[in-house]
Amino acid sequence: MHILIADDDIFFQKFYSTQLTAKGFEVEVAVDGVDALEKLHQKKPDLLILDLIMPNKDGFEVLQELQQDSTLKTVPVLIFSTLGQDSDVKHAMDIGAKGYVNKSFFDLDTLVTKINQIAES
Amino acid sequence: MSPILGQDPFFEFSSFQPFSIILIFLSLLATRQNLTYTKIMPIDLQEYKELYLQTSAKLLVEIRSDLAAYRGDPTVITTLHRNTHSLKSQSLVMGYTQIGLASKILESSFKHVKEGNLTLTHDLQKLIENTLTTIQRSLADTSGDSSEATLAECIKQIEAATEMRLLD
Repeated sequence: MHILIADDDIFFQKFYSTQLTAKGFEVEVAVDGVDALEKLHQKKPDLLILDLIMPNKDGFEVLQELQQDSTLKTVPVLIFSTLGQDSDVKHAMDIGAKGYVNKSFFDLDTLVTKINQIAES
Repeated sequence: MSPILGQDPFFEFSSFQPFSIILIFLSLLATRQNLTYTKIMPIDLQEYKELYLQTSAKLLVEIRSDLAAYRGDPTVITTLHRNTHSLKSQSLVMGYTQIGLASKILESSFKHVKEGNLTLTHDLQKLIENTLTTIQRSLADTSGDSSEATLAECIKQIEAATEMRLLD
């Protein structure tokens, strides 16, 4: 399964791509919202893991553009949330995200389960 | 406490000791998470420690620089919000709860400044600078084998100055 991770944080890019690659996923990283949209157009992933707070274009803008794109709106999106982002997550779910995971409380098994569930739904 | 900023109903019943309760809850959560790492997923967080120390040090430098340069520019406050958000997230995943929570209160402060609900006064700026210095010291401690220092006092001071609570 091909996963695109969009997160501007170098630490999380490395952390999550290493862990998910070890689990057999093909992982690509985007460094901000603009890069994410470019990579989405170049190669449509099976799943997008999207951080909400990013430079250039944030996660909400990426979600909105995805919804307006007939080719890309079928890409399932899993939100990377963190402590204190409940209202952000709710908003993201309202505009098209399929699920969320708290990136600060890492549980690889739960993440892999969510990825598989969302990708298959 | 501010009725404008304290919108989460969770805080209505915990207003007598919000900080202590949240800190205990998060510490328990962090402890539980650490147990999960060792029992279920033997992920060696040590292999990420060097990267964490590098990225967090870089974030701190940027936050300090942006804070010193801030003259009301919305793009600067957006960057301050984003960088404190990053520092919080990576500190929590590494198990550095104190640094994570201190970064959380800074992130919330910048978010409220960005949204026009809070003014970044000179006094608040000084408090934030002091908190950044304490975080920096704590990071230096954790780069060795020392455990992180408590940052409760910094958090309490910012809570008092902003009439905000930790998880707002």
